[in-house]
Amino acid sequence: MSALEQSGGAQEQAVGRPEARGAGTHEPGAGAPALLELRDLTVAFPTRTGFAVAVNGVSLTVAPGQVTGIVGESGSGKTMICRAILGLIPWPGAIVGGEIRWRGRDLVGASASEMRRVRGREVAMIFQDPSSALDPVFTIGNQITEPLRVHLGRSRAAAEKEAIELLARVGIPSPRERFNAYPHQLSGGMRQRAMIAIAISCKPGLVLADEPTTSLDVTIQDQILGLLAELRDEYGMSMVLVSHDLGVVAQNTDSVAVMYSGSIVETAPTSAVFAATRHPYTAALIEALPSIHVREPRVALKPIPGQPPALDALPPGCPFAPRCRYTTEACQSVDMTRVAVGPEHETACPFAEQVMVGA
Amino acid sequence: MSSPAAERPASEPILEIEDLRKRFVMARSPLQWARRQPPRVLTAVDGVSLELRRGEVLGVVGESGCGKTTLARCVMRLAEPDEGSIRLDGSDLLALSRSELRGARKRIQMVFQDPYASLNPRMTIGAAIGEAARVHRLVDAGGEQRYVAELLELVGLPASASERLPKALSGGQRQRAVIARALALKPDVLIADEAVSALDVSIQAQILGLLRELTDELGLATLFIAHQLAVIAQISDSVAVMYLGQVVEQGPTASVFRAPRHPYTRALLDAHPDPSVVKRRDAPAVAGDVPSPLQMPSGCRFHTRCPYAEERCLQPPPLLDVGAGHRARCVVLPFGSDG
Repeated sequence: MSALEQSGGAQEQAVGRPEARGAGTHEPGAGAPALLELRDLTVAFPTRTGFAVAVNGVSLTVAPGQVTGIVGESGSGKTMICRAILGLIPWPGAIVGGEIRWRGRDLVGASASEMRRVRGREVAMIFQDPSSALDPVFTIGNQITEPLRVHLGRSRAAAEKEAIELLARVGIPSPRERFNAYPHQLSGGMRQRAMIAIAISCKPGLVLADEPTTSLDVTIQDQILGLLAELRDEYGMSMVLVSHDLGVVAQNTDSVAVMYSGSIVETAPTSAVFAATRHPYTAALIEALPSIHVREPRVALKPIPGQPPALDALPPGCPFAPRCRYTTEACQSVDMTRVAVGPEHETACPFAEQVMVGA
Repeated sequence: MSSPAAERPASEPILEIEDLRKRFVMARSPLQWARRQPPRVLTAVDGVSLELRRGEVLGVVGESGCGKTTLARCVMRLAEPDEGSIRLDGSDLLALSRSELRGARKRIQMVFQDPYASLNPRMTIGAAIGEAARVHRLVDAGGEQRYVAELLELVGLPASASERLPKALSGGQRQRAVIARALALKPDVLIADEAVSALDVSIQAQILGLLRELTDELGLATLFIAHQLAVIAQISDSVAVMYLGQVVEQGPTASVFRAPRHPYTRALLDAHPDPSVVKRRDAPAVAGDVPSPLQMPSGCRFHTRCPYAEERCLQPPPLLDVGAGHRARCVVLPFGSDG
């Protein structure tokens, strides 16, 4: 039952196995095995009337050394994907289907002790709000040395030395003093730097950054994103960058997955998502976005009419169909399988080629 | 729709804020009290002057702690300013008595960031909108229902929303309801404090469009406070950039965004992640944290982080005119070569 027992054979399977859905994503180029592969991942929460499907059959590949962006509005399921990878779906939600292949082994159904070895050591997470993700009653030093001691078996003295080096590396001034500081004694930007230090302490292969700069001011956001880019190069980490901000995703990722109501509607290299959009939702999102490039006379933004469907009452077929300007009756039988429309570019809209040309 | 600020007929400003100052005296700890230490003073708003005309949206942009919300609260007189004047249609708001203030207050209405927190969860939308109008005697009991229906239509809500509780509405609909409630008093000035910050992009565009339309059609004067530059660029006719309690740059939106003359405005624009630029720069736009407003830097407030800082920046810089209503509080950059 446990993934531990299967993990030996799974390595080869992960590379060779033919795929039923979303063909393109699952064949990483040049034979390099994917670091992380989600297949048909489904996460649901029981509600009074049935199930709220937070993540609906999502397939996604994260290649080694790459930054994969997940962009979408609130409730689209982007945070749930990160939580599912680390086995942190809040009760009563659960992974009800699909696989999460981490370096070839399936993390769905892995034992608690197995997950503890992965979590923090192999896959680390940077949370949105550093003031609630850090424990207010422990010092910063305490919280950085903990993973070093637990995962890497460092002595107290060695862990302290390493932690101070990490604090210096993430740009915290006078790290020796900050080591003994409590989270409330640091500014928001400094707290986020401390959380990044914790995340990279065990040199994980993958960092899941869930809206890492959303609670920060724009100049601090800029500093933190710059720091993350440096650390990625230095440590050779892969990253999943979750954001609601298309601008953040545009400037900091290699490829992007656009989510809507639990489904990935489009995946593409970052430049292609903006230059050659192939899903009506992505296009609508870009058109609704205000820009710092002032136009005179003013051109009104194009809002997306209506609102996203309730997750426990998803419409049949494409969840965006009720708000889509190109919608037809056929949209109700779309199964959200992505089809390739370009190099590493896939869309879940089967009519994209007809409707989006020139868009 | 709107014409550039320069071509607008020179009407009198409806709201004039002059040299407004607000300081907060911090509470002393028992130890500080016993040691007879003076309390620390936080300077939130430090000499802000702004003008707002009918049919105009004035954007106030700045990072957290720059004083933009305190500024709004002072205009509403939810906070008492220490110095300066606020004139509504020529009369000084700060000189009004309590009862006179009640009359003036309905002419200035506010929309807050969080529509969930600013509506009573037990009151139907119709009751919330109607109550304000009834209290201020704008409608009698008989006309209330029709008045509410008109307002709901104005903000793009279905008439059925009147009977609903806030929890039955989506975030965007709730913000529309809050806007309807503010408009129920037929205000001259609408203050929107981070009114679209909590909303998703697709909904944000709807509310931005609505606020702009209402400003244009009802001749409102809208003070639009936000931390998102792009939102300010979209909706505002003119803009004021705040840093540590001061306006560091102000002017027509196009002029400020296209040719920023203050290093802080430049840093903000550089730091803004623009989706049309699919590559990030190597160095961050500006280093360091915002200094604490409890220990304000002397001279130019930005000199501790400014890449252009010189010796003379240790003297407080004046707000210099750089042409066409565009002013910047910098003595180095405005007339420099690379502007």
